[in-house]
Amino acid sequence: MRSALPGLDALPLAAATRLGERLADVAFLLDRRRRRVAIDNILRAGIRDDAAAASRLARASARHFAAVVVETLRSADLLGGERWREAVSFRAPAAVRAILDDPAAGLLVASGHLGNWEIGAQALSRAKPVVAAARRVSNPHVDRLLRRRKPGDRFRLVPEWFGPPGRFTDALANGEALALLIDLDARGEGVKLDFFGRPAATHVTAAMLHLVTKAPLVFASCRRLGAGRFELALSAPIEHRPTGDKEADVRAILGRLNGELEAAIREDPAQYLWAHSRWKYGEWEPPPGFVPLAGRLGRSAGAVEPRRVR
Amino acid sequence: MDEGEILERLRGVLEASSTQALDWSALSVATTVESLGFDSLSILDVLYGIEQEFGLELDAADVIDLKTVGELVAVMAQRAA
Repeated sequence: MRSALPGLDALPLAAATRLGERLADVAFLLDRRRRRVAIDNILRAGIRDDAAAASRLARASARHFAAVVVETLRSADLLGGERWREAVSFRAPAAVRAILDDPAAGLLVASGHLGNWEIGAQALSRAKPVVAAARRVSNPHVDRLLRRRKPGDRFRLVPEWFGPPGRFTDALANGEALALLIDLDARGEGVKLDFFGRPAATHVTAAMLHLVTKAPLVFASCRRLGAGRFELALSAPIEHRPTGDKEADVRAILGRLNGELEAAIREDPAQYLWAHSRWKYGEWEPPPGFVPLAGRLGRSAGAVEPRRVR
Repeated sequence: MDEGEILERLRGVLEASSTQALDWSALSVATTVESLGFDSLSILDVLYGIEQEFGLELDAADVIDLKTVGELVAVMAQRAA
């Protein structure tokens, strides 16, 4: 992949996308572990019933991911100037458009690894400055390249982990859109919540930010319509006021977000990143000797706390 | 509600929100906020707990930028007045 990136950069977008898809085919054949994870996830989710169909979908998903990388590397060309208006069609309820038009209003935007989430966030930044919580891509060369290509003026990244504690709330207070991907395995930091009917360790940050800051929360998806063409769709605002039962509040909000994400995935499952081990910790059961760690939601039943207490 | 009462009730909120193994009985107005080790998520737990316990909606900056628990208690007393 690393050695192919300069070549991908030099080609026209359609040709680069085709080359990326061919490389994805090769990677799909060679990377047995990721292939198995993707096929297993598709079967667990009930998106396909048999292994052969799941394998075909997993390969389509790998090709899609290659296109996401190519388009993200070319995002400055795709979205620069006023070109974003042609590349991205925008769908949002009037209430959300009003929030986007209000420079003082912060907006929480939850999304998943569906469509081209990178292009979606960059396109959204044309309507409201975007702060995206990001973790590093596992391949450091791809990570560096992707970070270099982000537009700087209305789009910035903050670390998902180990950053200043106010980095998320400050963004909302500044009237920015805070973009969070909600479908990564949360390990010990989340709650177990059903995703496609199976428990998955789910990050609680989006829900807690909504409960505490009262910032409007929407679900977003950016579907690829073709080479260099996208549709960015924002849901109606999700509103949930604190009831005093924090875990119930968090579960209610995340349940709605997961429902929105599942529905969007079902519309076009090949555009979802199935190779992530989404259910790894959700289906983890503590062996004898493990007890829940105190603090956060770990005090409540159902939280995931895979750490040993001595 | 005086500051002593706020501190007592705040102790429970902070302890419930923390993942740190601290001696919470030693919490005082002189305790530094930094020493409580809150991160971006546990600070939200603190704010949720304060809203439920005291009916006060504080901004994260109200808590993060403070140096000591005593300053937080003073902010809360002012808001509650």
